[in-house]
Amino acid sequence: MRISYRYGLLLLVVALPLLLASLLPTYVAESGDLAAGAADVPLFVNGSTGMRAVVMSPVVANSSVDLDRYELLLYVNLTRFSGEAQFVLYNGSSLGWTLPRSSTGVLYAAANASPTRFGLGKAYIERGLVGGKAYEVAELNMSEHLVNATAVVYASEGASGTVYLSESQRTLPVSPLALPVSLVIMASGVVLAAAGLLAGRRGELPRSRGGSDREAAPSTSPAKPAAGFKAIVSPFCAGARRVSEKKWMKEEEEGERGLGASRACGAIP
Amino acid sequence: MSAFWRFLKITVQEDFRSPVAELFAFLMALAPLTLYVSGPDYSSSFTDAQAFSYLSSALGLSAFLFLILIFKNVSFGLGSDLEKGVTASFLTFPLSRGKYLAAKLISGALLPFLMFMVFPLPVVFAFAPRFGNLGALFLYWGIVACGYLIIIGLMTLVALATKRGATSLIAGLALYFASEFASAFALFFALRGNKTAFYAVSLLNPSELWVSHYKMLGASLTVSSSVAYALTLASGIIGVALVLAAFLVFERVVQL
Repeated sequence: MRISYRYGLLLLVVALPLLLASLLPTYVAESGDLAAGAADVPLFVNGSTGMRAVVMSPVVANSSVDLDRYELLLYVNLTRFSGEAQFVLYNGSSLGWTLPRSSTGVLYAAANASPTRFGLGKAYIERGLVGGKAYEVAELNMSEHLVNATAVVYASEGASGTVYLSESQRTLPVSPLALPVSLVIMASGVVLAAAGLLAGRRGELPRSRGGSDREAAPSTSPAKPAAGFKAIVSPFCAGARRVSEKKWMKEEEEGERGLGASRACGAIP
Repeated sequence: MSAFWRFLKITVQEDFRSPVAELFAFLMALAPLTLYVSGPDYSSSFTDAQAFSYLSSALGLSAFLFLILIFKNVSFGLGSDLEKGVTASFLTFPLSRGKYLAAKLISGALLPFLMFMVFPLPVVFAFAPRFGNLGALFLYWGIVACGYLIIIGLMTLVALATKRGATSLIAGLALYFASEFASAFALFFALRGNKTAFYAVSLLNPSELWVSHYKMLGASLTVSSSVAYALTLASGIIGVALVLAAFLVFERVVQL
């Protein structure tokens, strides 16, 4: 099989986004490490609807990290929960989720999206439920800000818990394998591309070894696409030419043999 | 090398001439990077719904690039050859009509699908190191394939019937955008209780079924997994039927 430099080029272009991904910043702090002004507020019953917790907390960000990548986490952790309930988490008026009903045990609620973005993925909420933490993410680029969040549980028979705020730097966790894997793919791509280019150059050598080299010598540019009708049909034409050449040579051989026989028997001087 | 493989090689070289393959491979691999901007956390383990949601976000753009490749290859590959009379010349060689069309569809649709399956994966797994839900991955690939098979079949039939690449391209674009608009309208009615139109339109765009099944649009519209599987399969069967019809039409009806 002929190696084309394009296989190497393909590997290179596929490895490049992986390399870019590996260079993106990842977690630098556990959530809560940078918390400042976190507030523990007991939940309280809000009339017949259940519980209601309001948190207003000024949060001062740690100035040692890049504020552009800041995100605010609001954790809601309810304990001693019983009966059926739905949980809604609000941030101002722009955000709200209704979480699945739960009958017993501890209800953990979670939501993960920026209130400024359209489209909330319920899947992320469920993932948060698995993690056992409730959080609402808001992107912040201020060194000081006031957070106002409200968590409401309604239709519950009785519950207690805490609501608290913390802040952390949180970005996508890119796998640590991304960098070595991308480098390996890139190296393979470079090797393949070089091999393909070398093979292509070798194929451009003049045909000085006789007619039998026509089969062995690769075409002048293996990656060069066939262009136009003539180039498209050329392999078929070449095949047909080879067949006719073989036929002609066979006929010529037979003719030679016939001449030889005629010479041998003295028919031809 | 048989005439079929030789022709397939030529077709692939024509459809993916430099830098088409490289450009689309790069874009498909790059597309999941847009996840970084949306910023959710994928470090935890995945359930089926989370996995589907993640794959929809990560592979959505790559799927659209796959569709663009189909548009290009079917309309400018097959349609253009029919239009310029190149097909008739090829068929003078020892190559049956069926094999000719098979090579065109392998190069025009199957190879782009393989590109869509392979090239975005490194970044998809880099962003979700704990992603191990391969069932969801196969399901997503199947949904995309079933949805696009109908477009491929229709474009091929139109290209064969009209022998014009541009008409085939317009038919494909029209079907794609019509299915998108129809999905939006059908969803509107489905949210108000009438699911018939939604199910009908989902045959063209089965991903909507799974979005509803996993409640990514909220809990107000529910689709059971059996219904979602059945309609996705039905969509795939319609697509395969259209492709087979294209083979029949090419072998028995089309005059070159």
